[in-house]
Amino acid sequence: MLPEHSDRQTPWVATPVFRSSLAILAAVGMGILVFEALGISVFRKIGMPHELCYLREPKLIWLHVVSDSLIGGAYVSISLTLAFLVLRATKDIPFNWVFLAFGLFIISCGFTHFMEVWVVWEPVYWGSGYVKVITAAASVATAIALFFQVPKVARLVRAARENEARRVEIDQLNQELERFNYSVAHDLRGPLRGITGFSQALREELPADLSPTAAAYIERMQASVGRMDLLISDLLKYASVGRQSFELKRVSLDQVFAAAADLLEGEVTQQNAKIIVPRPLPSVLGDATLLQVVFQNLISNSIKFVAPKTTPQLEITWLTDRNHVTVFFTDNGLGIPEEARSRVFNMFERIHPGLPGTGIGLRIVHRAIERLQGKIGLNAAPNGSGAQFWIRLAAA
Amino acid sequence: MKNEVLLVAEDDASDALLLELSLRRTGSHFRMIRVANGEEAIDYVEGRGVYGNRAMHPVPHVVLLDLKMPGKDGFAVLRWRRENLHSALPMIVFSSSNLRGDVEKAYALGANSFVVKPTAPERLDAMVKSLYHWWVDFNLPVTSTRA
Repeated sequence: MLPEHSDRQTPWVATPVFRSSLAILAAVGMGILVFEALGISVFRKIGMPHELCYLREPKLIWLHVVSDSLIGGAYVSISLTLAFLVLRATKDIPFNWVFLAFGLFIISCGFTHFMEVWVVWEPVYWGSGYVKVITAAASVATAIALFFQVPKVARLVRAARENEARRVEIDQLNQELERFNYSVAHDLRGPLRGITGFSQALREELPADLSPTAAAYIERMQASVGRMDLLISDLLKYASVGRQSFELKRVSLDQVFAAAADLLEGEVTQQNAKIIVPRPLPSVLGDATLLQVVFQNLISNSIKFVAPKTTPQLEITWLTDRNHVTVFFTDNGLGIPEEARSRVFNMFERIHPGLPGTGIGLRIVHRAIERLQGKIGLNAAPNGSGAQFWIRLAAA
Repeated sequence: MKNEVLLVAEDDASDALLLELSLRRTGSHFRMIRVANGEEAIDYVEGRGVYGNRAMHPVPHVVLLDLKMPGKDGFAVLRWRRENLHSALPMIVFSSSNLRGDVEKAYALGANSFVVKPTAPERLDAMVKSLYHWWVDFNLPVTSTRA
């Protein structure tokens, strides 16, 4: 369940459905008093029970009694179901008087039939009449309310249809854009292959033709191409994080961490980095591939951006509450200067220009978390140096 | 002695030359023959027209197939192979695309393998070596089982 749903819950006593129902009961009671004031008791018995009209013929009596009871019971059940739905739906759709009028209409119809059963044996014709008055009032009110709802419902239907059309359009635009990004990144690779391949061929196959200066220039060219290639790879990763389809499901962060750590083993060993993680990590609602991208990037950044001669150290901790899991990545690296914190998730934003990087990694992480409907942020390092990133995801 | 023919269907002259350089660099036993589009690839395999002279244009052992080519593209060649039951001839897609849709479509059309063109020359060399290793040294073509 997503966090928004469980946070604000109105106590049922405060719901419009409950309050209106109380008001209706009060009105019914008042009606009885009005009848009393007019000298008519709705409980008064008059004349003969209805069974005499049925000539005390048992089959006929039971035919009426069973049918009326079933109709009345069904009506009450329908209106209770309706009330339940309205009660549940008030979180998502605004309370609507038509539901209430409709519910009252059905329930009073039900009581009309119960009265029919009662009068078979007891001549409570005044009471039965009174219930009919209520039913008539509810029916007329519903009929009128429904009539005025027509333009509103038509508007809602139209709006829903327009929303759907717009959503489809946005989806298409997004897909097109992402496809475009993707093919641009791919088509950029072609010429790059040529530059890399032929400069390599120049150096290897025709070394005699190259002066030392020419060889040095070619080396620079190749270094630039290497950077370009890295940029394109990262752009591709970014595009694929945006394109990849997935369903939110239960994912063990422990497995995600293990997979990311596996892929980063070379870097970790090379840098002699220390990663402290109390295992097992909790599970979240997410997607294993996207989360692995997130973990891999955050861990790799922590290891990569450290002061010279510092042993990189990363501590992964987490907090859980009923609805969320927040994971903290705290490192002893170069940290993010205060003034750069707001820009850190921007595309091509490089905080440490002297060190390798394309400025796309955190953008990828941000996009992945956004797609998982989570949150990401960064705190001032608790130890004064280093960075602390956190991600918050729905608990599973 | 170079004997196994590697037919390369590739419209980009640079990519074709890079492949050739890599084959030379690695001392490959493949003899590379390049055609520039799907149409020519089909003509070659069928031995049509100029390709009828099998002494000059021997039957290929493996085909490297670019996907995006003018006229008949790589998909068209795969489709043609399936329709004409040339399944004994391994066709390996060699493309700069790794779009999931392209990969799925290629395999659905019967591609034997899908390789993304490597950018780094070392990776290309490694690929070229493995290609020979796998398809010539280890892989048993349908024709040999018949013999």
